[in-house]
Amino acid sequence: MNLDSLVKTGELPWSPCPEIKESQVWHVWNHPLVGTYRTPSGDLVLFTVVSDDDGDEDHRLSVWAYVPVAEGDEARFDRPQFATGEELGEFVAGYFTGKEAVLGLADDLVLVHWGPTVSPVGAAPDGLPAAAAQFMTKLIAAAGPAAELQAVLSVVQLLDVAPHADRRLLKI
Amino acid sequence: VLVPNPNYVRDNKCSCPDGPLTCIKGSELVTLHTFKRGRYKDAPRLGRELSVSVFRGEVSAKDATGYVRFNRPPLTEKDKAKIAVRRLSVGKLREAGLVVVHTPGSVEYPEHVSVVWPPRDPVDYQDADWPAEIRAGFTSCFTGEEEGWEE
Repeated sequence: MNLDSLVKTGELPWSPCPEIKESQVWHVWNHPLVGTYRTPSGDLVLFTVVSDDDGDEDHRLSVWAYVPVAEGDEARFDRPQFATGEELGEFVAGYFTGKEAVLGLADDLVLVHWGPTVSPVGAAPDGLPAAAAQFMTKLIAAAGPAAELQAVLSVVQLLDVAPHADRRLLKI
Repeated sequence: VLVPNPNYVRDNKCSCPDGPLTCIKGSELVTLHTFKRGRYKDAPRLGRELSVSVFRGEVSAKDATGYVRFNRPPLTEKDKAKIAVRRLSVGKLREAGLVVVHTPGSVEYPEHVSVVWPPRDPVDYQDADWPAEIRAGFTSCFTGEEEGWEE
């Protein structure tokens, strides 16, 4: 299956191309977080948020992942039920493991960049976050050294590693 | 303008015998979650969302967060300190002109509920552009009970 047909920029992450069919949303928190859809050619795709913006108005970036569902697996993807969110997370992460996938970056819940994973997604629980981190690192590196430095400093601030008094000096 | 399809409120409505609009009684509470204590959502995101998500009953901050962050790495203690939940009265939400729709989805607990406006045909049609008085009405349904993360 051609992974280039799964996602387009300018679309909502849970409805990532205008021509999708049979969309099924499994998990919602204000907006869809996990579900499936069919491409115009009939292939079933599983999507999931990897890192949401959590409704934060100051931080509107989110990362999403997409993987084709093998025909033999489709029966497991028709409105499955899970006891808890964690169980759903294990199922989703497990299906991505070992597969080539597509990652998308959304700004204010609109896809602005997408690309294939550089290698098959690693095992849960770190596989998808690690793939997303690689995808973001590639995007930042492509944007140039200044953007890369800004990104690193943002992470340092987020992790509360830098001394508080020096935070203003870190702005570039 | 992006239209937030599919209509996940309609597609995830419950099959309870009383139906998705009345199976949750006016005497019940629902739980609203936030990652920034003191700042709670008061309307859907225009052009992106159709409803505001809450949970049926009194759900702890930990369980609510487990639902929202279903596949994400563990939280730091700093993040946990910012998380909170507050209770809203279902009866007051209805009096304020909002509709409480039971939309459980694929996860059994906590039970997902959608708060929707306007009241006419709420399962098939939702408008995210809540007027100021509806936003204020939503916020005023807070019962005064709020709690943070507890292990």
